[in-house]
Amino acid sequence: MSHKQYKYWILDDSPLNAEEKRLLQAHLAACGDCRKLKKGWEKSLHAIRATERKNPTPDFSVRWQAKLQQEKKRNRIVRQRVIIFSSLLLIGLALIAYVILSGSLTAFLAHMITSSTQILLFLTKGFSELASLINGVPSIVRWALGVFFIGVANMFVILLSYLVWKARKNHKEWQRAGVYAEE
Amino acid sequence: MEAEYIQQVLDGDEDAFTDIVEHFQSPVYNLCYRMLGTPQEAEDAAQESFIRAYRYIHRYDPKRPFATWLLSIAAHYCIDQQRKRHLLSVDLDEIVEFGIMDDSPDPEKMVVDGEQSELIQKHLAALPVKDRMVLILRYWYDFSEDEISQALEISRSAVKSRLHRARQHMAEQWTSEGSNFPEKKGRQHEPQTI
Repeated sequence: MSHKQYKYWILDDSPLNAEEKRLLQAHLAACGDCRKLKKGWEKSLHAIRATERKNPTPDFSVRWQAKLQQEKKRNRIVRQRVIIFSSLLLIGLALIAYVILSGSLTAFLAHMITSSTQILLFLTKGFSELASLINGVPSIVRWALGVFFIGVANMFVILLSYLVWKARKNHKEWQRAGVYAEE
Repeated sequence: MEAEYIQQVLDGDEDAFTDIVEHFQSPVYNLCYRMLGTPQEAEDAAQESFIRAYRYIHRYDPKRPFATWLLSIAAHYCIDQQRKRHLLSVDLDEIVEFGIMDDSPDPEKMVVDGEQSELIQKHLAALPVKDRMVLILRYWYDFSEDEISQALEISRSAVKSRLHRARQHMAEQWTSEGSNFPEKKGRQHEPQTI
């Protein structure tokens, strides 16, 4: 009988019959490697049986409930986003389908180009009239107006930066408060 | 009792599942700990296993034991986590060192402390993921080969060969490293009663 078969018997859980037991005993008496293997597995199994069950720290189920609520919240947000995105996509596709199916695609494009050109012409005309109006004003008044508008623009930028900073700060505090509340 | 709780969960009673969590937290956590090796990872994996069980409770087949179904979810999750670890190219030695959470993994020191658990954990960590899971389900949870085959969705012959390989590995590890370990009397644990 092969050495492999004896190794199999040593490591297998199934009970051996009397003849197999006798053969194995005879082999173990002669084979040091198999004796070592048998002893190693017996000790290992003993150690496995002796290990204690590891338990989670207290309030495991409370933490689980909190996690479940977080999971539900996250799923709700994802669902909302999917609905919004799908709706927008659907509206966009419906519009495209309408333009193509109604046969008015070329008319629509021509109309868009004409409208854009008209708007550009109107703006150009407006700017040139504004320039001639400004040229009629004395230079000291022009300088004073220039300085005033630069000042207003700066104030506007500073105010906008402050509002953005404040909003970010409030958002962070709100998030922190949310985490503590969940804890 | 489980069937009653499961029916309540299916009827929309979330609290009934909390009772299930309380009842099964220990075996699920223990399985995750034996697979992953650290309390933090075991906690995360056990929590996630219960979340998945809650999410897919409608797929549970009442003909199967609930514990087997639940533990198979935890088993698959742990196997996935281990595979992710490998994808992150973590060295096996690091896993072993990290896994046992011990500054002194010297077998002799463990012998002195009588902490067989740490040495077993170290030997487990060196096993391939599925071999480890098969061994844990067989000897910590007393699953039959058929139950392991069902839980891990592998053939019975694959279970047999994985078990054989795992036993051989454990025996050789024990022979080479822990041969001086004293046998403890009167502390033999029963396989996990679920």
